[in-house]
Amino acid sequence: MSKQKKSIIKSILSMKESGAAIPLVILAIVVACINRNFFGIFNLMDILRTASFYLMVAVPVTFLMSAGGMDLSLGAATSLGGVVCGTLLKAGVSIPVAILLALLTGIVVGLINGVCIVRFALPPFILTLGTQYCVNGIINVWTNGLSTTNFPNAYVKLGQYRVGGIIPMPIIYALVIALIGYVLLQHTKFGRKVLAIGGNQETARLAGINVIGVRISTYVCVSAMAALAGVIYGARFATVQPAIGTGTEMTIMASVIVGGTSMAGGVGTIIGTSIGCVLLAMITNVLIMLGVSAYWQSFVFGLILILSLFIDRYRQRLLKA
Amino acid sequence: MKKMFALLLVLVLALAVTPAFAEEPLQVYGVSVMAGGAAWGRFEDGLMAACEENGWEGHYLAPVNANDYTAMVQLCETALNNGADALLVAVTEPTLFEEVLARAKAQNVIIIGLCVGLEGYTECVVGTDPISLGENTAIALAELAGDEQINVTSGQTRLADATQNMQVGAFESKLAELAPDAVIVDRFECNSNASTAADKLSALYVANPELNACVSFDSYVGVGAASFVGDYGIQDKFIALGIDDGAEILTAVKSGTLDATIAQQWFEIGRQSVNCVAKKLAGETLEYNQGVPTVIIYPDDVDAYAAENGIDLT
Repeated sequence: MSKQKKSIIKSILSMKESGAAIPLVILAIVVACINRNFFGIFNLMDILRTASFYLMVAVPVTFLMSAGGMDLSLGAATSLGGVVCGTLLKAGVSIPVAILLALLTGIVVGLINGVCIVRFALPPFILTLGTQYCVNGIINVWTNGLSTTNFPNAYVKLGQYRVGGIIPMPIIYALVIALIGYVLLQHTKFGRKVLAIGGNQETARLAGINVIGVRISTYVCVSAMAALAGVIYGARFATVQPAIGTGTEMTIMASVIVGGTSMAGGVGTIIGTSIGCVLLAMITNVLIMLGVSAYWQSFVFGLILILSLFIDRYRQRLLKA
Repeated sequence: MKKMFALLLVLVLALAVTPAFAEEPLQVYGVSVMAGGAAWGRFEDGLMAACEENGWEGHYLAPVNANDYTAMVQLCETALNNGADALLVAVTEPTLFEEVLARAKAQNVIIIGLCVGLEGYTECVVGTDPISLGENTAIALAELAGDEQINVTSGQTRLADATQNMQVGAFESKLAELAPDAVIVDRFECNSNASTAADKLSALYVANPELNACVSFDSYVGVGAASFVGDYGIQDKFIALGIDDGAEILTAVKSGTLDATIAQQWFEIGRQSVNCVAKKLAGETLEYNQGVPTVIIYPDDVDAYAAENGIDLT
């Protein structure tokens, strides 16, 4: 292979985001050759809208994982945010107050997670799994498993309005959150602290970083943004379902990891997370466009995730070599 | 290398913009609540058979996770983006689906509701009326119980499912009418998981030894109930009613671990919903409620029913 070719491949693979970017490009090329409908503007907007809900939560999860944490309760926090907001709106509370209180409940969940994990050194996997069950249980008791609907138009517009008749509002929210996240992670002290803690917690502590404060704040941000995502879900569908966030935690964490953020901590990329969210949002859409049977979709979904991980591992080995 | 990339890009763009000259058959999309299974698998068979008869292209879509209604909405959106001419969908939560159905209507897509619809959007609803399903379940239970005191539990997919709650409500009202001293011990959800259903039933039985009946509003409750009855060996003193006509359910009825099943005739629902599309295209006016009657299948009826409907019990 010529030196020029090697350097092109190396420069592509040197990007942390290549684990998500390469499968995304491959899928796009394959579907472009078989079904042009994929590139219809509404289809692309639908994919981006789905991705935007993942991204709203995936951005703070990037911080959390970069600091070496994990959170299985973010789906439950999403459901809780939606339910709290919906209940308050039905009770006549104004939209801004309902949203703020929904965010507050997310913050409380995040604080519980953060304090228990960081202060009491409880294992994050089990603790957040427990929080997930507790929060889902509270939601079930509170709502009797029933959805809430008939919200004020102004609230529904928050999720259903399209800028220029084309771009759904959730995409705008996600872009703003991603931009803030990018600036925070790459260009602020807070971001550097997060990465330092993820790299080596003890070294970070000795360097004078408030490890406890930073780690707890990452858990709080995740649950708060998850609650916000629940609020926007409710607006998008004009219905608040008690289980709207169920199952999203795995998809969101997978988006972050295939995007190039390390589960071990110390490495994080908002751009990679964004690409990961788009990739996971588009897989089902692409498979339908390609006429893949519903029964095979789960298998292919998993295969693409595994491929992303292999690309990322190959990339790391190539760079070391 | 650069030339290769350039050629590839031109090829992709050319394919993307080249108009399709061949006439496409009518695209019919069925969006179900889960991939396959006793009920929806039969629906898929009916859908595909009817599409083939009409020379149309049938597509069966299902969410990765069963009963993920928001994923169902997204599947409907993808179907519309992919040129659907007809959309057959269970409008499980009307407000959830309203936006996508409005889009479908604006694109002149024919929308058929499966068991549940949304007036103003769905041309008609094909399926089992939830009230009569609930009432028929109560009638079947009362007949099987005879004079015996009924202490019954009911299982459904999700306690939050509005349609199933209507079924359960109708069941409980009718049962109160037929057997005033019947006791509703509890209700449970299984999220279409037979193992969950069996475990919950087992726990309920241990906690409530007087429990002597279970009715199903989800196919997998029936499968779970059959497993529970078989494990405890209580075929003679526990009445278990299944729902739908999947092979595993019919086998359980034949073996006696289920006393009967109430078949919703999902194959017919799949077929009739496609036929409704054909009638709509032919300019016919459709009755909004296209009820497909339920059939109660007892052990002696299983073989004949299976043979008639092409269900393989081996």
